[in-house]
Amino acid sequence: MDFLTPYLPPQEWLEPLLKIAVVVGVLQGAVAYLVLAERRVAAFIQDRLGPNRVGPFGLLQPLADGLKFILKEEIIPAGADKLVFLIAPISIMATALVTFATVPFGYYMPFPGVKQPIELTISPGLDIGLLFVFAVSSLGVYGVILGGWASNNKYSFLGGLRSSAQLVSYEIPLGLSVVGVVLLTGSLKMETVMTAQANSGWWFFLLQPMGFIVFLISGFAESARLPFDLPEAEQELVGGYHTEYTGMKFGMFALSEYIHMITVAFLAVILFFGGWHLWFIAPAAKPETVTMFGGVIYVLVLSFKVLLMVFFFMWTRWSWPRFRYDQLMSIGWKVMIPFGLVNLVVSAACQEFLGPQQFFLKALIAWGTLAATVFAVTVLKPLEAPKVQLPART
Amino acid sequence: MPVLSMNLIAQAMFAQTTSNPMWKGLVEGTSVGGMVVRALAILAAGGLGLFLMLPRRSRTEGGAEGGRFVGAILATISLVLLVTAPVSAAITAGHPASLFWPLGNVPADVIFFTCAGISLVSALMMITSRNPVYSALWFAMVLLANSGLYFQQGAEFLAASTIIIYAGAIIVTFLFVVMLAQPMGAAAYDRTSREPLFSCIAGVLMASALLGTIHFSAKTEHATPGSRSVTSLPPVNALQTVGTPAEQASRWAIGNGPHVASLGRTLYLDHYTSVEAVGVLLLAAVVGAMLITSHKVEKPA
Repeated sequence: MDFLTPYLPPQEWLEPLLKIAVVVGVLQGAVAYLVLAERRVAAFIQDRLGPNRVGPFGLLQPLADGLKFILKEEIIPAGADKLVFLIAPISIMATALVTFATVPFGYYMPFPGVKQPIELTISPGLDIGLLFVFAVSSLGVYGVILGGWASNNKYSFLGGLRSSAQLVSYEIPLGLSVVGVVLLTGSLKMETVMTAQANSGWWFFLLQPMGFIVFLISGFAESARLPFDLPEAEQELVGGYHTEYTGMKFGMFALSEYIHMITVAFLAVILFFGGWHLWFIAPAAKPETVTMFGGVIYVLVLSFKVLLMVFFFMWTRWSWPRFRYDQLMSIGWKVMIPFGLVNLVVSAACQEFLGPQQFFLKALIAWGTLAATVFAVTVLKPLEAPKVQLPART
Repeated sequence: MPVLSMNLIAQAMFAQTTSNPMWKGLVEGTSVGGMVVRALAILAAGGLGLFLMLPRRSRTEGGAEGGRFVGAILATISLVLLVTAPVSAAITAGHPASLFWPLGNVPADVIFFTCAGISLVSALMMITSRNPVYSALWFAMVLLANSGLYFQQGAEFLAASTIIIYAGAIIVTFLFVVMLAQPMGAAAYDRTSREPLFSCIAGVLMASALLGTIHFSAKTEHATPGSRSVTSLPPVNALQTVGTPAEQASRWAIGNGPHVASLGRTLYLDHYTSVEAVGVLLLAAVVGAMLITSHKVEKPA
């Protein structure tokens, strides 16, 4: 490596560029194979074989799909707003990718010839990592609403309006659900959150069960996966906001949907399942003591957990029917937001009155609160609208 | 709305004033009268261009588009002159750090000028475009470029919350309303500006006042360093005097260390009453909105 050094750009330029290249490249490849995985999982659950003709076990299917995306005819419907029609898929794809700027994909990695071990995040210095993710992913709504509007098709338009209402609504519980974790660690940096879990050994789904449930359900809704895939709703809206899109433009919508799913899986693992931490295999360690082999282990543990989470997403897709639109909205506003608020109050009280090491008591209180809230919602039913008898027509 | 775009110009200038030591140096290097006259001339030209570009009733009904083109050229020239004002001033003041880029810190300046330029052009397009949906989109661009500026200045929390609240929620609501209210296309009175002349004059006046204030305050601050900085103010709160000086400094430094934690501390110790008042105001607004939207179902007699 040393003979190359004078020809390379300085490290503060090279490092982020390399990280960006790795993250973007791995993400695109992962998405291509997740589509195949999704089809195989679907086939497995429905007792079929799934795509198995292209290459061994269908492993070359993603290449065939990609080729098909590129070679399809690009159609822009008559009367469409051409500029906005083209911008919509680009914007949704760009926001989905930029989200990963602050999501860590490992712990530390020492390199020969580099003094300090490299932190495996694209922008490690940002103090507001979690907020940045929420900020950028809240911009994804534009692609949906503009794609629907610019298509000059009423089904697309209705689909766009519906799904942007869904995305905007579920941002609130999604934000509320992670406040408990932020309170526990006192930081918005995901690296700090993972280190805190590794040091104590208490993964935060044990301390924040309600936060986790709200996060998971809102995450399903935000990434528009079944049972919340109303943006697409094939039976009612033909294909939702991307009905009129063909070829690679449609491919970008599909790609960004999968990237959203990966982002939610990453966040769930990082915030609630310990991130790169696993007992004995990937224990808590100081950054200076991480070897190159150890650094790879941390990355592998994190990726494995993320893959499990993604499998859970696919599994859910083929096990649950879709919600009706009014049910979706009432779950978001009448169940998820109150749950998030209860969780916030209880976590804040625990944080204020209990010591930093009383994990068992905190967990006990958190699970007790969850049980009490679920009991209150299901048995006492405070959320049902009172039945109103309409006056008879005369 | 022209006021908004002019406000952005001043904001761009302001950001440059505080961040770049070169700019401070050149503030005292140039003669005051010359700078004021030049800034006023640039602003007036920009205002004229804006006035010509604004959509007016006569043109929506099939008038000539020539004025719009001339206005666009004028506004572009004015924008370019405004944005490059620090560069040209640096050359006049004799601060050429390099021949190609006289200001010094190249990456930071590239980010600054890109964001400022996008922000100004988008603001111009926002108030001159006829389609309300396009206006909303340009507004979103303005906000994104602004939060880029905030990021460059180190105000990370402000940048993220601008994106979340404005770009992610409010403009999406605008789009909703625009699309749902007039699916057949906007009416003529929505495609024209109401008082183009007076709003342009008011905008130019306000922008001149802002630029002047910023210019002269920067000058005095440079003459007596630290006279206007926060650290030299007398402590307003007993908590500000607790602990060693190092602890105090770390407790109140917003730009350093755990940025969000310091920000929260400042908000909830220094400005506690304001936070509470804003909270009550928002609660009242939510309750009011619910009252307005809820339909009363009449009870059966």
